[in-house]
Amino acid sequence: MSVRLECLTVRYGDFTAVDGLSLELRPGELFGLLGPNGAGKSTTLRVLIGQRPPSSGQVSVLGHDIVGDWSRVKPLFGYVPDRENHFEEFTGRHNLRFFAGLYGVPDARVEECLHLVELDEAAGLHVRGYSLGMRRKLLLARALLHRPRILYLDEPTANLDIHSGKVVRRILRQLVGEGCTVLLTTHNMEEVEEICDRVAILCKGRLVALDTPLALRQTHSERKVDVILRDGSRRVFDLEQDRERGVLAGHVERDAVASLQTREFNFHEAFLKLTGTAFD
Amino acid sequence: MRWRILHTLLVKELQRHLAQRGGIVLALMLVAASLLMTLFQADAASGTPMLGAVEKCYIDVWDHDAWVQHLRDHVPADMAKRIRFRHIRRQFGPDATITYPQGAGAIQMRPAPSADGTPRVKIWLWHPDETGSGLAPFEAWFWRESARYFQKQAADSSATNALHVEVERSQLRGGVDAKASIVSALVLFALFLSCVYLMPSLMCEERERGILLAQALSPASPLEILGAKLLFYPAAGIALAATLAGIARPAVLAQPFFWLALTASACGAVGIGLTIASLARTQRAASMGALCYMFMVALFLFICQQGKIGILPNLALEYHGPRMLHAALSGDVLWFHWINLAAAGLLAVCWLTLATFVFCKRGWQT
Repeated sequence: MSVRLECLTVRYGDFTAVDGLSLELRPGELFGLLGPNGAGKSTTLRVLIGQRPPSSGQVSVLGHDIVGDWSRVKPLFGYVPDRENHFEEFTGRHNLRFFAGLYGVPDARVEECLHLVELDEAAGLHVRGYSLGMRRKLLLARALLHRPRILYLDEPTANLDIHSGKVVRRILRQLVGEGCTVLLTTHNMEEVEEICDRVAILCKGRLVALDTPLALRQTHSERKVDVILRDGSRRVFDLEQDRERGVLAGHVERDAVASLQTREFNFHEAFLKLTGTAFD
Repeated sequence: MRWRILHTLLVKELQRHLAQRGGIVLALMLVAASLLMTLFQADAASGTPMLGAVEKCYIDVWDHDAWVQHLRDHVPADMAKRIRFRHIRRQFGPDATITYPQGAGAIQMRPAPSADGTPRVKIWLWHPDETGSGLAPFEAWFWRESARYFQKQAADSSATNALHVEVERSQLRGGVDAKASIVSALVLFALFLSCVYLMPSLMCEERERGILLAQALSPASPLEILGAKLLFYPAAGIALAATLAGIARPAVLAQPFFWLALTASACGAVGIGLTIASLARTQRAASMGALCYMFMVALFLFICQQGKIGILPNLALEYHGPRMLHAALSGDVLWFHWINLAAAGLLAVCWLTLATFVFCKRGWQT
């Protein structure tokens, strides 16, 4: 396993932010962590990047305990925070070169990462002149400098335009293809369905669902059909009910159906059903 | 500590200042001030007295006779704490000189040699300022009471042996030298600018914006990140301070005492700066903390001076710093300046210990 969380509990005083969370992230997997505000996603990430010790439970990364063996864990991962943290007075390239100096990677890798996130043309500009999307792409470039085996991303595509969002998703899939394990938190349902191999849904610090997006779709899709009949009336048929299936079949046979549409999987509704909380 | 990482972090600090330029402009202004002072006060190398206030007046006597006793018995209440009688023979140092502390004056009552057997006495007035105005209230009291004593003597006896009084005035060496004072202030300001203002301010800015966290997640250890800051800012402060002092008094750069004083002051300033950086969470709080600290210390020293509290100011690094640097810059390093240096060194150790404690307690990343 790349990352293993066993009964992870994190408390802030009396408040339990993460309550007995157990997860296993496989090598070369793109894992999505979903949950409403206060679900414990950020706290889990804070534990994984060593900024918060677990109150109880164990966390290991590639076999190294995150508390006892932190110096070995640190070089293994890259982290893209939810808020950008660049040196505003430096250029994009200068920012990456500084971190490249710390990681001991050559300047050629800086150019490679800038090219990967399509920032090579803007690399000579000061970061204070960057758009939010450019700043986020620079964060991703920085996290990839040392070719980490695990990548944690907090809302990686927030504030990105459609093209940049696609670029980031492409990069993430590419990394996963190369064997990198990616853990991301996001609010973008389409993104989860599009790129995540597995998804965990957290609510109030507890794990409420863990599966592939497809399995979640199968489990939580509504087997209902919206029908507009030729007389102009609208009907909804529940395909789980034998009687309603029969009625629908009768309408089809009589050619009384003007329009028929199956209901698509709605992650928002599935999420609402699982957590009792609207996704925001 | 790995040199590659330390080097990267040190270069980053320098490049941040080169990119922002605010600190560099301020440093250049200090250099310009030092240059201007040197240009316009080129002929005042010996120093010009500035403040001649006498806080304490020593009455140093050779013989404890009736005259001295009369003076002792007639010290006005408002001067009682400021006048001190001493037997002069006990005050000589190994080099046969008497050293008076700063802000003190003296009236020496010395028997003078006489060829004809006539009793002679030499009243030697020592004042820190050029005109002697600071000693004037004590001198007025001394002559007034002496006159009363001799008038009484004359009335009581018919003795005709006249006492010949010889008066001499001298300015004490090592008084307040205006140029040395201003340069000392510039030197201390340079250290405080670098270690107490810029270091906490930029450290908190990095923490507030999450850059410190980004560095902490890199291979750089917390010790290396902190070490780079604790190397860069004192070094920059000492370099600027030495430049300012060197422009005004080049000879001071050859004085080991100057470098020791500078190092002790810089270490103390770093301790203060790191304490502020550990306590403040934001850049704004750090800047305000630095300014508040300076204001509080100035107020503390002022209150102690006004309240004639002699011991408490010794607890402030800012009390010893100006004295040491002034002595080094005016070329008058006396024994008590070494005590100032020892005290400053001790205070620097205390500040660094406190800073380490607060830093460990409060953390540094969030």
